[in-house]
Amino acid sequence: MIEFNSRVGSKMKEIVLAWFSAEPLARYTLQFIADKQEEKMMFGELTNIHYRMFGGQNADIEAASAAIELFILASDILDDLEDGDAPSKPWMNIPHALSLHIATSLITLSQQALLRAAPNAAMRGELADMMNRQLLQSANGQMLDLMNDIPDEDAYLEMVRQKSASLLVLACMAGVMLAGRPWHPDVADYAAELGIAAQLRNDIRDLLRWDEKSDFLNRKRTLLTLYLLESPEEQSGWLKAYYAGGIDLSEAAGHKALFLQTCEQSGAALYGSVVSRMHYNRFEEKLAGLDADSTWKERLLNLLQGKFKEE
Amino acid sequence: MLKETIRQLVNSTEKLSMAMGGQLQLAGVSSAEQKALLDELKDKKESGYSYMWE
Repeated sequence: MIEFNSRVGSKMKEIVLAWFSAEPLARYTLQFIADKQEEKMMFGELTNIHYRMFGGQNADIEAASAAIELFILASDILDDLEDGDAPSKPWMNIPHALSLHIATSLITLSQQALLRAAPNAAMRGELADMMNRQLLQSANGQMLDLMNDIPDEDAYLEMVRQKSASLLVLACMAGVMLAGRPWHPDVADYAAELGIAAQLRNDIRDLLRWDEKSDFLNRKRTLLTLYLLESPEEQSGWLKAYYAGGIDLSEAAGHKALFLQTCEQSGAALYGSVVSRMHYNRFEEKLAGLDADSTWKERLLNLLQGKFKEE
Repeated sequence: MLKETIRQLVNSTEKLSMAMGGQLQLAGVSSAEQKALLDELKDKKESGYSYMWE
């Protein structure tokens, strides 16, 4: 995984230098990529694995993986700018107008890089259509999330399907299509299940943290905060008051211990992890039934279970 | 019903240990929910997909 990060990171930089001729645009973007390389670049690896799982041979798969990671980087930057958190990130420490411009430039760059990774015009057309459909779906979901008025659990899971799962579908399907296959509904189904499972794990972390990214302190409506707000009145009374504006942030911020106790006594984190696991189990069942190279199916499972081996 | 079951389990160590041993009847909980619950109770560590978004 470390070697993959390094190879894809180098390819991302190469693509940036080829297309961003304005020196500051290239310079800041290279800094952002260096920061991105500190994390696991799993989306690009999903593209790579699906390409090989379906016997791909003629595409520039490293460039395609880099293209997907360039889009994910753009998405991370926009998400942080919209949420106004993540103060340690380099894009939050330059004028936001510049970060916004770099993120929107990266979206176009990622599309250009993905299209150029395809070996022929027909495949480029199908890829462009697939990528834009997934990105538009994600944009719709992100808007619903930003509005923060999700009424119930079903609406929340649908928002996650649009906002987050569509990006997993993009990453996996890019590999499938670059291998010369058409849209694969089974891959789309399991990628969406995996995306929901992953987003819910992220929600558990954001529920239990106590900083600028805390979902509770930010009064975010997620599967888990909705669950907490449905808890018996003696547990959730003060939480409801905070969400309704009857308690302000400075007062709520002083109740970390009480909040964590409420989470524990209500089983909020366990509930989130069980729902996440249900979606992950559905992903595994659908993957098991897929007619594709078993070596790469195994490698996909290893990646997702945190066994990062270079092969 | 999954929500109710979890609220009961976290407030009863006896029920929790029975559930972990597969000895507790979980009324109104689907087989998929039951499997996921047992998976989580037995294996709490986070997997690689937990960090898709960091």
